[in-house]
Amino acid sequence: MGAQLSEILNEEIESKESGFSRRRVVKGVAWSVPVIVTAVASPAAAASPSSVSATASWVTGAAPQYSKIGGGGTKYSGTAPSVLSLKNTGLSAFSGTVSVTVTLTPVGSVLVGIGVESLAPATRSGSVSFSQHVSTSSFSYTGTISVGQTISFQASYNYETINPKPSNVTYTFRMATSVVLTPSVGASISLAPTTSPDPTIRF
Amino acid sequence: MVWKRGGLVAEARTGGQRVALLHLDESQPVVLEGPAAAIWELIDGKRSEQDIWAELEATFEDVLGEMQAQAELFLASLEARRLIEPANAA
Repeated sequence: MGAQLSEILNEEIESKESGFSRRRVVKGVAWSVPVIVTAVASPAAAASPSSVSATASWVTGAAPQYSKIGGGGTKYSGTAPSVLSLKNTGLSAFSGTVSVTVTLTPVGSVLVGIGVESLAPATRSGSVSFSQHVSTSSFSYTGTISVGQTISFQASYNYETINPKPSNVTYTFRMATSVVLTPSVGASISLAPTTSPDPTIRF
Repeated sequence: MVWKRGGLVAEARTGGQRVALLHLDESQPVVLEGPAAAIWELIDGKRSEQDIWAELEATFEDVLGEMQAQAELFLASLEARRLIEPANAA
């Protein structure tokens, strides 16, 4: 295996501090979302791609059925958005990748967390992760959205497997969504659709 | 999963902090900085995704606990742009 990442970063720092022999250890460097930045276009290309413009919103439709992670078991009802709607409001077709991350944070004390299991037709990246009953789900969709076109992502929900399960309670969660559109050519844009009312699950 | 850098990708870098990439079928380069450049340095055709997560966790302070999910999305974006490919691909 090659050099450790911290060694690579430390070498960079050392090279910039050539007047000092002290080696600074890179630990606890703040993490930020890794992104692909499109370099400044050359004059010939600058006129071709127009910037991406879009809106995203959650639509609360039919009451969701919360399914147990891994399938099987009892299904529970509640409220939550059912569709994430994404509309191209720009002057040119969007072609690229749509990345969606949904976080559900409990309001108050809960025994069970809920998460977004699927967001069809997007593909889930990894499993739904739970930490202190806070869930994070990430999805990716690659395709084209024509000018004025709206595409809909259908959400389904799950809940943590806990034994014993609570009964006769309703838990409420805050939903935060990040939508990043990364065109094959041009700069990315980020959207943050809001949710109202807050998702709930009834045990 | 083990990833390697795409065979048709040209790159230029300044240390481990900033990397410019150009897929030879494309006309516009892209730039990776900070954590994105750090992840690129770890893609060597040998490290597994688990190896990469471990090195990132040892290096970066991830207050929100979203590092792995965001890094997975980033790798998916790199693959979509054909900047990386599975190391075991024929």
